[in-house]
Amino acid sequence: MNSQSTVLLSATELSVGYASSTTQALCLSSLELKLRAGQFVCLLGANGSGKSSLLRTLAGIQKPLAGTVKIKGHDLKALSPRERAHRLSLVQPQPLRHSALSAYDYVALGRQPYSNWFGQLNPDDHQKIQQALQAVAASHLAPRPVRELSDGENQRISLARALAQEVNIFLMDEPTAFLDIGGRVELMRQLRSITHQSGLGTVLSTHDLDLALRYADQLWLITNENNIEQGIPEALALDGRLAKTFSKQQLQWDPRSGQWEAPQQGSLQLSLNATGLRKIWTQRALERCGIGIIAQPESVRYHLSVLESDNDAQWILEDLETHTKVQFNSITECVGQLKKLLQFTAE
Amino acid sequence: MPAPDFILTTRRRDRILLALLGVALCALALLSLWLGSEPLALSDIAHILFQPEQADTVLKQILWDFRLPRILTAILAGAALSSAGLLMQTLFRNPLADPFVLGVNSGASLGVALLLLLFIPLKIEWGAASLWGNSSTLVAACLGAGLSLSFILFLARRVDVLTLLVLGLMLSYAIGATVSIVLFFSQIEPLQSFIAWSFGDFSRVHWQQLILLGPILISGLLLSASMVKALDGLQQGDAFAMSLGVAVQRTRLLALLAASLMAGSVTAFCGPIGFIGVAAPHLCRACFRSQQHRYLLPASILMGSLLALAADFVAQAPGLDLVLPLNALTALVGAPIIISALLRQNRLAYAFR
Repeated sequence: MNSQSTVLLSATELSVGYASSTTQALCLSSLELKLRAGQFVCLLGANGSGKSSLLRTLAGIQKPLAGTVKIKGHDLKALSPRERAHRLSLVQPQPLRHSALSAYDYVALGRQPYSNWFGQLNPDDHQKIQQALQAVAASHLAPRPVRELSDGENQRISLARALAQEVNIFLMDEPTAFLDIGGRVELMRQLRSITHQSGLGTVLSTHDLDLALRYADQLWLITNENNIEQGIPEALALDGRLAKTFSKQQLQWDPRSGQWEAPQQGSLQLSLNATGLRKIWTQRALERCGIGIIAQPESVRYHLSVLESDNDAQWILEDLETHTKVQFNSITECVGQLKKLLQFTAE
Repeated sequence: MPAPDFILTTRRRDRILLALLGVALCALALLSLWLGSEPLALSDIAHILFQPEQADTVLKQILWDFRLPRILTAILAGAALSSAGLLMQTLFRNPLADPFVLGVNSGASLGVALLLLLFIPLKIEWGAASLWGNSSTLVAACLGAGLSLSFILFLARRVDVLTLLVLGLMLSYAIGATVSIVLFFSQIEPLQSFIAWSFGDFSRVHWQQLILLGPILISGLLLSASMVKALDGLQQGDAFAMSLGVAVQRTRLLALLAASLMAGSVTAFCGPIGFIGVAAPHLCRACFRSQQHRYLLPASILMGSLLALAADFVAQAPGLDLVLPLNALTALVGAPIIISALLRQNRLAYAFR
């Protein structure tokens, strides 16, 4: 967002990994990271690339192999656990364990860093808890035992706990992992708006490239070389860094559509003549079946066109060699026939 | 902004429940004092309390020197075992954990077994044993429990909780095996006294032991009380607790120390007393709506005391001329209560996942 805002969290020369007495497993090395106030960062990377380790290291739960993490200029190592808990909160993807707690009591745990010896809550604490529940639209869940909550509600309660903790820095490890697509979008929107409104710094790790591209102010992209590429989503997409990191042998990430595509291996190709929504979904059906779409109708044997009438449409498959036409009344029939044709040409 | 209504209602209900437990405990304590194994006339008790100079010395002795220390011991030991159990269950996030999972119990048993079955029959002179006279069992049990406790604390810095749990289990098995071997080679009479010790008995503790046991257990309880907040966090996992600002490593060591100290001392002074430590915390989780440790700990303390006192009351068998084995009664009295409570509110699977 605004590059002038204060740096909440910074890492210099940071190396992340696991060290035992005999071996050392390096995940990420020589990182230079900055998280600014009001910045919503999505952390992307393949499985096992070190996303969780990085978040744990930034939260001070895992020791860095080298380098330092600073919170507003204070070395993380020099802060007591309680001081850290005033500044930073890590939300992990595990289900809420002690589920005999009510959702309210669970969120109240976020007030621990501020409460007295016995964890007693004062009116101010209760206000913060209720505000946090409101912020994630979960006030109605408060009396329910957390064990009865759905995954989505669960995730919102976890978020409310972190909000009640009144920290500047949110580190969230795959909060969208167990959610359906609607829940993911909702959570991302909530998180982003909370981050922007309250001037927090949020780092969220996710596998959901599509959502990250839509909502992140900044991407931290873990590359195959144990490094992190940083930039706004569009910049990383344009200069090919996204495609480079995510493309595998069998799968290409297409910066044009922002989608994954398997390279065409089909033996059947055809040209397509259609418009609007039916064009999009017919294209997708063809791609799914492994049928190539060619722009010039002269160079291929088959031609598929969609004729639209009022609320109806017909799919017409034309064989340009034999000059025969087959007409289908639905996309289902059309795809069924194309699959047969595909088998036939493969033999 | 005040707490929402449902929270206030829950808290009020739980406070009333705590008060009821307290009242029940006091009532049972008075009942024990009165009935014991032989009921005293109420007038005699009044005499002893209000005109001690004119009271019958024998009755006075029964009340002051036998019943009162026994009742106090039962209350303290029950409280200690139960809160030790609560600490262990939370620390290991395991409903089967009891105060003895890490082997302090077996350590104490080994100490006593070695003393009763080897040192005394073989007439091995042992400085401390002669020094303490009748308390030599106590010293042996303390040494055994202390050794296994320090071994566990030594390990606790090096491994994670689940590994520690398994290590403690292995330690218990190994020590138990050693005890079996010692038992196998011993003669009948020392064997009998070992078995008598393993039945458990609160009446072994007189004033002179109580002035030692009492402060140990009370400091263990205070130490537990200082951790209630951290335990709420730990229940949700280490990383979660750290995120809340809990010094996880230190809390874990302190909790282990407090639990093992309480469990070890109770075993050393009263013999191994099972069941209360695992059952009372469960009963509290089932009965109380507030699941935070600032409610569960006082609840467990009262519940443990109540269970221990009830078992002791039955063991003294008022009206009968015998004393039943305490260790069997804790389970016999407690199990039906706990089973019914757990069946009624099937919550454990959720509390520990």
